[in-house]
Amino acid sequence: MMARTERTKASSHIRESLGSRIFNVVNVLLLGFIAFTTFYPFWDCFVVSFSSLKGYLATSVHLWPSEWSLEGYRYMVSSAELWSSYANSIIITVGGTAINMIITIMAAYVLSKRNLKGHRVLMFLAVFTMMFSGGIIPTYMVVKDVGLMNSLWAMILPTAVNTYNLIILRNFFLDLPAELEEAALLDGCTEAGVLFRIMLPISKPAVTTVTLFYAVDHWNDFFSAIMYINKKQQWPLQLFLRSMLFQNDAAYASGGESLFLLGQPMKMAAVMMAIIPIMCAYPFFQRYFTAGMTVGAVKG
Amino acid sequence: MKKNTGTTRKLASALLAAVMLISAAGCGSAAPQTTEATGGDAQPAAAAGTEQEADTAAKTDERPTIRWLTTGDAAAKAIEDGDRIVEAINERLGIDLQVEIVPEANTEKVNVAMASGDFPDIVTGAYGTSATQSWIQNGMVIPLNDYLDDNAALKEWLEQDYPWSAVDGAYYGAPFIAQYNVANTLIVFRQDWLDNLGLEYPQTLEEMKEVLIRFTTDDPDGDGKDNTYGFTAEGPSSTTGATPFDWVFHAYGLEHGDYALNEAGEIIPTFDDPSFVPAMNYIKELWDLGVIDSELMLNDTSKKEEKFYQGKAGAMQAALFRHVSRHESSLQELFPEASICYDLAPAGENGKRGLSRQGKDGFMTCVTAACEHPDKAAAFINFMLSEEGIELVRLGIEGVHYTKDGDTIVYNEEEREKDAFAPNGWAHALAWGSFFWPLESGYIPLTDPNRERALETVELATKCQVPNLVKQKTPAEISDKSALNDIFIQYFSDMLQGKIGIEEGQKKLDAEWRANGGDAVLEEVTAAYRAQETQ
Repeated sequence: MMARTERTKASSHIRESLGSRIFNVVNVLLLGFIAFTTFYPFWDCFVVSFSSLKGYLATSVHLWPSEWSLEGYRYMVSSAELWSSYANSIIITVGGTAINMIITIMAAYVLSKRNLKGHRVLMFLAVFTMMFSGGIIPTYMVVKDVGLMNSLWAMILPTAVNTYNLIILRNFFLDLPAELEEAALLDGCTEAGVLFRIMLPISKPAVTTVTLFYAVDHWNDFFSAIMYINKKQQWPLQLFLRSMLFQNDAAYASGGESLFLLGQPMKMAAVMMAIIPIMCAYPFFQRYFTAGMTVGAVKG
Repeated sequence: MKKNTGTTRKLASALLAAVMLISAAGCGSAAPQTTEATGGDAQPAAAAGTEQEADTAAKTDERPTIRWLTTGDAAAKAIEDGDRIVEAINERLGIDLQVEIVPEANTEKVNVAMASGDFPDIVTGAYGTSATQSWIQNGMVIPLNDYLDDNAALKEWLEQDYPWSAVDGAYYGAPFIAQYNVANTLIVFRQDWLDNLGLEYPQTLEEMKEVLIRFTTDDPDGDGKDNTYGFTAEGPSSTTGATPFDWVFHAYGLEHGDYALNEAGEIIPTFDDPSFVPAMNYIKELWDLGVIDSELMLNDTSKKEEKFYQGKAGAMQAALFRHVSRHESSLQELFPEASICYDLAPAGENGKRGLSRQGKDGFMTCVTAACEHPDKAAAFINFMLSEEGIELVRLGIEGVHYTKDGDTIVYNEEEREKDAFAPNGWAHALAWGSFFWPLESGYIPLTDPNRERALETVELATKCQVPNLVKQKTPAEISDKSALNDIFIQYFSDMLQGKIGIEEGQKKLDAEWRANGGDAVLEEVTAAYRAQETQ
C-alpha cells in the first residue's frame, strides 16, 4: 500500500512534455467543442420550448428563455391528437419491442448452436435480407394482403426481426461458455430452461442493448405509418410531430390548415415531449450499453 | 434463489401477457373509416334492434362502397365514424363513402398504393408528375368523358378551366392546379418604418431601390444601430424555378412565368428574354448595396418570416390572404406599434409589373379501372365540384352546423365540433386539398375579423400574377425541369455574388441549360404550345 502511494507520488512529479500538454489542451478543446455542438441543439430546443413567441424572437441565440412561458406545453397538452399519438407510440414501442425480443432471442439462440443442421443456410438467409430488401412496393403488397393496413400491427410485424440485432445477440450467445449449457442439461434442465434460466440472465448487456435498439427504432418510426396508416387516430407520435414541424407548401401558400403556422415555441415543446420519454430511458440502459456493443461484436 | 426465479418468471409472464393484451387492444381496429348512412336526419345510426336501423343497414348494404384515397388536407381534423357530412354525402348520392387521407399529403404513398395494385375507387394524386402520367398510360384510371353529360359541374370544370388536360380528347381526371387563376403573394412592408422615414409604398423599381437603401442606412427603427436591411425572401425554388426577384424580371418586361417568346415567335427560356440582363443588373446593384438579406439564397419560409418579425428586414415577399393577421400580430410581439402594408409589385419604366407565376402543379382526382361503379364515382367528383357539395363541406348542414340570418351565416360551433370542421368558421376536412384550397375558392369565414383585408390582398396579388405560356407540364419537363432549374439557380447565385459577369453568365447558362436537356424540353413545350394555340 505504502509502495503504491510512493509510486503514485513519483509519477505525479513526472513533468508532462510540452507536446503532451498541448495535445491535452487541444484534445479538451476539440472534444469540448464536439460535445457542445451535440448538446446545444437539445438545449436550444429546450430553451425555446419554454419561451414565449416574443422571447423567442427577441434573440437569435437561445441560451436561456428571455421570457418564460408554458404556452407551448399548454397547447400540446390540450391537444387530443398528441395523447392519442402518444398512446399509439407507447403501444407500438412496448408491444413491438416485446415481440422483437421474443423472436430475436429465440432465433439468435438457435442460430448460435453449431450442431444445428443447416444453421449456415439459415444464417445466410437472414444476412441476405440485409443486402437485398424487398423494397417499398413488395412490402406494401404483403402488408396489404395479410390485412394489416390501417392497423398498428403494420408497424410491428413487418419489422419483427432486425438482422443486425439478431447477429449481435447470436454472437453474444456464441461467446458464452458451452460448459454452462452442458452443466445445466446434466442437471436436468430443458433446452428452453437453458435459454431462459441460464443464458438470458448472463446476457443482460446484449439483451438490454438490443432492446434499446428496437425500442428506439419503434419510437422513431414514422415511415411505416405514412405507408400503412391512413387513420389520423392511429398516427404515432413521430408522425404527429412531423406534421407540426414540416411545412406543407401547397396548404401553406393557399391558406389551408397547417400546424406549421404554430410558433416555434410550440413546435419545440412538441419536440421535447417526443424525445423526453426515450431520453429518460437511456440512463437506465447505459451501464449495459457499452458492454453489449463490444461483446456482441467479437465474432463474425 | 429458486423463489426469486419463480417470481421473476411470474412477473415476466404477467408482463408479456399485458403487452400482448395492450398490443391486441391497440391494434385491433383495422377497419377503414366508414360511415353508415342514416334515414335522412343526418344522425348517426342508433342502437341495434330497431326496425329503423334494420332498414338503414339494408340500405347501406345496397349502396356501393366508394373508397377515396386522397392527399387531401392532412392538417385537418380527423374524420370520425358517424361524421354527419360524410353521411349527408352518402345519403345524397346513394353511396357508402370511405375516405382515406394519407398522412402528410404524401403523394409517394398514393403512388405506392397504385403501383402495388391497391386501387381505391377514386384516387387523388399529384398532377404533373410521372406517376399520374403512368396511371393514364397504363390504363390504371379511366376516361370520364362518358359521364360528363350527367355531371354538369364536372363537365364545366374540365371544359372551361382545364380543357388542355385532355389526353387525345379524353379527360382522365379532374385536375386542380394551385394558384391557377388567383394568387396571394405580395411584397409586405413595415408601414411604421416607411412613416418614420417619410416614405410611401414604392410603386416603381426606382422608388423600391430608394426605400430599400434608406431602410438599410437611415436607421428606420430608430434604435441608433446599423442593424437593418431592406428586403428578405425565400431562396429560389428548384421545383418551379421561381426566384425571390421575379418582380424585377417582370418589371423589366418578362411577360410569362414559365418561358418567353422571341421575336420569331419561338419559345425560349426566360433567361434568354431581353429583360434578363438589365433585370439582373438591377438585382446585382441591390445586392452590392447590401440592402438585401445576405442569407436570402438559403432562407426557407420560417427563417424569412422570423427575420421580418425580428425587425431585421423592412420588406419581405410573402404569402398573404389568411396570413395577413399572423404576419402583423407576430411582428407586434416585439414591436407593438408596428404595422404592415402591401400593394402591387413595383413597376418598371414602361409600367409593366408582375410577381407570382401562374401555378402549374396541383392534384388530379381520377376514377380507377378497378372501380365497379364508375358512374357513382363520377357523380361523387361532380358533387364535390357542385355548388351544393361545396356549400356542404364548407358550411355544413343548414339548421345543424349553421343558420342563416338574412345573408349572414351564424356558425354553430358546438355542432361543428362534433364533426370534422375546423374551428372559427373554417371548413370540413373534406373541403380542401383535393379540389380547392381556401385561396382558390376565395373562402374565408364571414366572421373572420380580417376578412376584408385578406380578400384585398388576394385581389392585389392576382393583379400581379403572371400567366404561363404553356398551361400543362410536358413529360420532359416532369423528368428534367427540376435539374434544369438547379442549373439556373447556380448561375443566378454566381451572377448575384459576382463570381461571374452577368452577360457572360447568361451565355454560359444558356449553353449548359440547353446541353443538359433544355433543348428537348423546349421542343416538347413548343409542340404543346402550338397545340394549345389551336384549341
